[in-house]
Amino acid sequence: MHAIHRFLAIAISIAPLAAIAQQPQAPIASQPTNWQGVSADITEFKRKGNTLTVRLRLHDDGGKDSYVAFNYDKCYLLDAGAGKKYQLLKDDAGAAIAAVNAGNDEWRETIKAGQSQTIWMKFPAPPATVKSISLSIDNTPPFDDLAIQDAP
Amino acid sequence: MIRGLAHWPARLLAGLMFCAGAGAATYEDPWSPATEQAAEAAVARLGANTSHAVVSQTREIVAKTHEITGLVSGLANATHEVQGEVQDLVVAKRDLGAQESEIEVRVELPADVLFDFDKADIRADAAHALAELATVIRAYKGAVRLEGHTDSKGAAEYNQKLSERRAASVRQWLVEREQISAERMTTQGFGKTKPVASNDTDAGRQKNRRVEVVIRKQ
Repeated sequence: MHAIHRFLAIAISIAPLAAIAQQPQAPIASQPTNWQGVSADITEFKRKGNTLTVRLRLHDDGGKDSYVAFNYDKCYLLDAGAGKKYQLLKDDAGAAIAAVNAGNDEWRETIKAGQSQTIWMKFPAPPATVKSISLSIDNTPPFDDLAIQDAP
Repeated sequence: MIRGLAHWPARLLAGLMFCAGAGAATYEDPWSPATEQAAEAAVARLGANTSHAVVSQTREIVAKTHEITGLVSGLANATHEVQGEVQDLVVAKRDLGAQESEIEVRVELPADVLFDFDKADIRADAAHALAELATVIRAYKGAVRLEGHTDSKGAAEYNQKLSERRAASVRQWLVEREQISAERMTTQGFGKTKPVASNDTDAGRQKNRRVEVVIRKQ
């Protein structure tokens, strides 16, 4: 019991630090989704090793809470020039390598009015020669020609 | 290890920050070693197949669609063609007063329609009737027998020759004008030996002056 209290104290004390670390980043690209009042910001689009990581901030601008059920199975990268499509990565158990909180490939959450939630997903990295690529995500028009950030 | 104890403080933080989620997350952080390891393993499992060739697939689909569209169009045209041919056949049989059994179709063409008096040359205005006859012949694959007949007036030998020449004229017309295979058709003259009506009246004699066409269906 004492140990739990001590841990909670530590956790609560470092929570603000975590919040600072996760201060809103300037979006790389942004557009409204088809969830009413919810917009999607791409805040990270980074290639590292053999994977490309997307971080997505869902922001509720609609003045009321929004329930979002985001399906990762509907997400992919499309290199139209090369005619290549990259599906989201899944682990050997079939779970999406992404911020999943429901089933194998979904994120479901109520986003409170005026607030944001950040999710992420991983794809196979396109070849290093590919400098930009389109991203399709669930229930949102595609983000065309996003510049890929290469991790150092 | 992914769901291991090492990650439970982070999970608790996530719980505090995101309120109550619908279930436990499998991967908490995109850049955690566990997540990166799982992602690299997933890529390794894909091997060379990290992407799908969507353009070639699209091209294939478009090509197949065109092919199917062409086939459907061709089928529709063929159907229209067959429907047209069937319609023409029905009309031709009706116009010619064709008699039909299971094995053959029999048509009687009045000689007065086909020939001038005492002649064996086809009249120009017989073309329509012979075109309809050709339509019926084309509808089947079997042999065609052309039989010439006369009325009883005149010498038997003369009538015999006249009936033979008239049957041959019809055959020649069908070959030359309607492109019916000559091999399918045989001719025979019967003169006045096979009347179908009384030769005592004009109406009867008119009926007897005829070319009978027997078309085997197979």
